Order: sequence, then C-alpha cells, then structure tokens
Amino acid sequence: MDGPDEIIHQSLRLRIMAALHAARGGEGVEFNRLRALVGATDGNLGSHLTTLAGAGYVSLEKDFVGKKPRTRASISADGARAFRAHTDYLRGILDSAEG
Amino acid sequence: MAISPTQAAAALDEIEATEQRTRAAGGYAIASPYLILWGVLWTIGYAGCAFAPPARWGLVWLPLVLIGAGGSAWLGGRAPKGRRGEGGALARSMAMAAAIGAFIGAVYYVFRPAGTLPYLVFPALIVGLVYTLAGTVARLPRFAWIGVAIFVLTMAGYVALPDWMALWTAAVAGGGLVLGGLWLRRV
Repeated sequence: MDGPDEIIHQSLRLRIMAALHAARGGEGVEFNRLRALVGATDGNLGSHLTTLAGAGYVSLEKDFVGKKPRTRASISADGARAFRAHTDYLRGILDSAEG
Repeated sequence: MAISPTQAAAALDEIEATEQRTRAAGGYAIASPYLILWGVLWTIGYAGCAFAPPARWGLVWLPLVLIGAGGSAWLGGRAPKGRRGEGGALARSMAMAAAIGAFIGAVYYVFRPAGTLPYLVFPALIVGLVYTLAGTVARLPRFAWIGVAIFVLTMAGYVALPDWMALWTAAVAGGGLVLGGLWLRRV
C-alpha cells in the first residue's frame, strides 16, 4: 500500500471500522450499540457510516423489530481488506521509525 | 496525507482499544441471558434451602439444575448467529460446569463438612472465583467484578450472618448473577 486510506484514517471512521472488523461474521452491529462502542453521537455516526457505505466499506441493513426501526452495520469484504491494508500501513510507519 | 510515527501509534492504540471493547461487548451479550437464568434458579434454590430441611436440599436443587441445563441449551440454540460464540462454546460451558460440580462434590467428600453452612457457602465462593478468573484471563472486566462481588459478599455473610446464610446467598449470589446479567446487557 502506497499511502494511508484517507476514508478510513479519520478518527471516528477508524473506530467504526475497528468495531465492525472485530464483529465481522455476525449479523451486523446495531446502530445504538455501535454508537456506544465508538463513542459517537447519533448524527456523527450516521454521517460517517454513510461515507463508509458510499466507499463500499460498510453495508447498512434496515428492518423492523416489532414496530421499532433497526439499522445494522457490517463490514464488507472490500472494507475488511482496506482496513487490514490500512493497519498494515500504520504498522509499517512504526517499523520504519524503529528500524 | 503524511502520518507521523506518533500518529500511527495513536491510531493503532485506538484500533486495539475499540476491537477489545467490541469483543468484550460480544462476550457480555452472549453471557447475559445465562447469568440471568442461573441467577433466578440460584435465588429460588437458596431460598428453598432456607425453608426446607437439609435432607431435602437435593430435591430442591435437582429440578432447578435440570431446568438450568435445559434452559442453557435452549438459549444456545436461539441465539442469533454471531452471538453463539465460537464453535462448541455451549458444549465447553457445559463441560466446565460439570467439572466445577465434580470439584465441589469431591471437596465435600474429602473434607466432609460438619455442619450445613459450608454446603451453602462453598458453591457461591467457587462461582465467584471462576468468574473472577475468567474475567481476568479473557480480559472481560465485568465478569471479574461480578465474581469479586459474589465472593466478597458471600464471605461477609458467612462471617456476619451465619444464621441467615441461605437467604443471604440467595440474595447476593442469585441476585448478584441476575444483576450482573442485566449489567452485561448494557454496552
């Protein structure tokens, strides 16, 4: 990887991707749960999720539990690949600095 | 965009912390209904011990243990994909519960307690210890706090309220598991 992934590197989006990457393989993370895990406000989280979904890194699924709307987010295969590449890039910076 | 080594280290720390928080939340979500189920059963069982003669305690606990085993299997089956833990998690939990039960039985057999008090106290202390160790080893701090609370409050009752031990254990061990299970539901 030549440079950082500028979409992922923003602080809140980095935390969102880290949470979704850690929870991959499940049924997605509910919006409220994700908000608590990454320490975001409703508006902030919604806006950054839209950015990540637009890049194809995250998929959003909306349904109803009874009468309550529910939004679940999960990381896509492209998103998982990009996240791993970005963390490898960050580790590379540290390795270069130490070497 | 240039990223300095300091910024890279901070970003990696942030990733690690978020991943750990997410994994812990997943573990808590899996464990929560089991703690509530067994907490309710422990509350009923220990309260039953307060009112039944010691010779009948086995009859009090046998149906509760069967309900607990059946309920645990049911909870394992109905949990959505991704909240069932890794493959065989339920079987491993059952094996661990059987090992703990066998250990408690063996300790009673070897040391043959003179009165009824140790029969009330010892299982709660062991459960407190198991949760404390599991929470420490698996980096699930809420488990450790639940274990410490059950252990300490059980010992406090043993020292200060031995005549009320069955009801005290129902409250602090059974009630502690229920409250702990509710706490685990909160992210």
